[in-house]
Amino acid sequence: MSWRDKSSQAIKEFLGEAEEILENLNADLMELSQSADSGDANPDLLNSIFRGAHSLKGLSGMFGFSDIAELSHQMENALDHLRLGKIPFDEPLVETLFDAFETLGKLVYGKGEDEQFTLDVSDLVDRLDALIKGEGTVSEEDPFADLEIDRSILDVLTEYEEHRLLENLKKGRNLFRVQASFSLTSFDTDLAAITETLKEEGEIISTLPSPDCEIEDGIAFQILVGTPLSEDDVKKLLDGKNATIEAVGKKSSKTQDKAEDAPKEKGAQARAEVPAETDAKEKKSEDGAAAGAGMRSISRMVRVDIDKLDVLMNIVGELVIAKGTITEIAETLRIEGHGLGSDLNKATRVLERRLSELQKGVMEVRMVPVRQLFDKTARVVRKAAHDMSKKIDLEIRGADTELDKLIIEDLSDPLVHIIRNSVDHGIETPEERVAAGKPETGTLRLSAAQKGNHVEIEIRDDGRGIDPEKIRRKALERGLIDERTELSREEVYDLLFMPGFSTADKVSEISGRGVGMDVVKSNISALSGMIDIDSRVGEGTTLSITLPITLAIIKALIIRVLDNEFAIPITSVMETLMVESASLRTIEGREVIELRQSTLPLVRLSRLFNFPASGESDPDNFFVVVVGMAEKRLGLVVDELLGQQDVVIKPLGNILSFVKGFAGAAEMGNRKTILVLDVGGLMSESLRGDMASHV
Amino acid sequence: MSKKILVTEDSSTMRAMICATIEALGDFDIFEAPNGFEALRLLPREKFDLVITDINMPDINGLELVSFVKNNDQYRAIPLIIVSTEGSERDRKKGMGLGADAYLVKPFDPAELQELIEKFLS
Repeated sequence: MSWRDKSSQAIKEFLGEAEEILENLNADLMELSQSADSGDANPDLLNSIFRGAHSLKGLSGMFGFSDIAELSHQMENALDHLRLGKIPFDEPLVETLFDAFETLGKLVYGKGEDEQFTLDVSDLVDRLDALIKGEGTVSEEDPFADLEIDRSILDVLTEYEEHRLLENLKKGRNLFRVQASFSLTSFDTDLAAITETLKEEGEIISTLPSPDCEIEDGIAFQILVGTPLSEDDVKKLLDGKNATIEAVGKKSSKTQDKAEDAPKEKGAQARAEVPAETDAKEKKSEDGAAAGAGMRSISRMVRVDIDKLDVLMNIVGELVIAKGTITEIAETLRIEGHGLGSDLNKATRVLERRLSELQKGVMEVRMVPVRQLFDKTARVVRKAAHDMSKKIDLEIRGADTELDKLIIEDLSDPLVHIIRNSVDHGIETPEERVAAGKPETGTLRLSAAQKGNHVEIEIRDDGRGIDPEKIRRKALERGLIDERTELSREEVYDLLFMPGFSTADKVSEISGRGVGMDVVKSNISALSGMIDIDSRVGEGTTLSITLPITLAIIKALIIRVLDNEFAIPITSVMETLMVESASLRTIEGREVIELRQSTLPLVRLSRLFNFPASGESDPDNFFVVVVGMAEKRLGLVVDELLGQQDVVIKPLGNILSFVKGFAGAAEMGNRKTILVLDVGGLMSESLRGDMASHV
Repeated sequence: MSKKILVTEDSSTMRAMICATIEALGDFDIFEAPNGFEALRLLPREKFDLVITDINMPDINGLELVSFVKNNDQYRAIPLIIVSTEGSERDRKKGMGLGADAYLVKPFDPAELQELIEKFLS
């Protein structure tokens, strides 16, 4: 079975990774060619090039691309000889490596267009082979026999590492065994702190992990390092890093008194068996550049750092705002009867169209299918189900629905938490399910669908459901509500999102991590989203998350409350109303109006933000902005509607993160900055606030 | 209870292929480690039934990982398969000398890896 018959997706992955390897190879070869003048090659660089060729060989072999495999194999061979000091580091070699690299690039590129594409690589293979054939002989006896070094270290050295050890000995460097223990949680960074310091003054030959550790639940490392430094110097270097340093001595005193000849070199190549060649190699870097320029992109995909897209998006946002300012000027000119006004207006409309295309284009680049997220959760489900000995079928729907990359990233934690909750508390064990007359295997359904400017993600399980009575009791116990509080079904489920609420009697290993649903909710709110929960006892629980497609640029409704202007994302505005004061009613201490046979609760923003009352607002009429997400609606009472505008939302930053009710700040065309209301947050806050007023 | 397999491999494509090969065999709980450090972190956390590792990796090389597993009373019994492009007899000997249970040369035949997994996990 060859992998190339398997799927075009696998081929794409191959191309992506091969392209990355080639990019790195190119950069490394360029650097290598530059150091060719000195005749010495940086061992790390050689090792990196070797690994690149090595990976490419392995990968292409799996796909049956024998041409790439053969050439990269031969390249790897040559590099292996080079790094082991068996052949000299000279111009013909570097040139041949570049030629081989270029051919590899062409081959990979060709396969991207047509899998059958091939080139004759025999000439290059022969050239590399000829270079290797000139190798010197390497003695077969154990060169480390007289070294007082632990067999356990020698046993784990790859051929290359053995060579580096030999090389360090040849140069008369001192060898030290550095031992240190770290906690399992941070060993990689702790270890790096030591190895990076050592690398400045020497070379790390081996890093052997060992379970014999002073720290409980920790891990110990034995680092073998070669350096011109003395034992005292190394001890000084690692002072305060909690490492023990031990010199590795020699059994017989085969003194190496050339020690001072080679201070601090970056690891020269062995020159013992080959005559030194120090030909000038000026044109090397030019050749390298030419080879690099010949590289065309292979997979027709680019990987871009999301930060770069953010910068681009911000610029587009600022352009949109600048366009707004021009539109205003044009409008003023037109009203004033200036002839150029309408011309400017026309020109601005063209600009507007192009800008919105640009905006759409940049936005599309940021969009990724939720599949990435869902695939990740699939593994979580499988693992969690396994850990809890439950049987669960995961159904995924709408995985192609797209969302802003940043939203997807930030959605990952909340989603994983919700899913763990479902597996842990929702879906019953097979025995319980059978006893309840349900199929033994539970079902967890993850679905995503775009609805207008929103994406709705639903997590539905057919588990035991959540008993509203139990939630009520718990909320009472916690003092979150009071006995007289009357709550609708919906309001009861909303209690689950209150800080300090957790129905799980004990924190389990799976869903417990000290994170409650309140954190999930605030994470979703931070994305301008809403989360809802609905449950039927015995039938299951459904959580739905409603999210805007993107956060970057939004249309907003600008409103005024007293002297303050605020922006409300237009995606959460359902309608605006002019309401007569006479139609205002009060139910359970909450102001409401009747809107098409349903009751709409109102919130006076002036009261919510504790603005000092001023009698100037019209007593007969007032404006209501009906906001809503998912099934919920709320009327915000405002003094004036100032119109729609494109705004770029910027986060408030950490210092202001405690301020509730705002999703961020928006820059306006006239250089003013106003606050953007967090509709999702306000809606739940208002529900909670009203309940608090009952207590 | 599905068995737990740790796959240590720095190439993401190769890792995906090894995982696909395992998944085609049946229901296993696969843990992926893109480097030796991650493998060292996962080992004490999960009770693995099988470890598969590459040799040439940055930071901790595969031989060092084999030594860690096979010199540790806690993990010694876990069967370990080396899957490496390093096909030389010398490396095979070194790996097996450290206690690895099998050595597979990349490009590997999926059926061959599946056979080994079945052999060690039956």
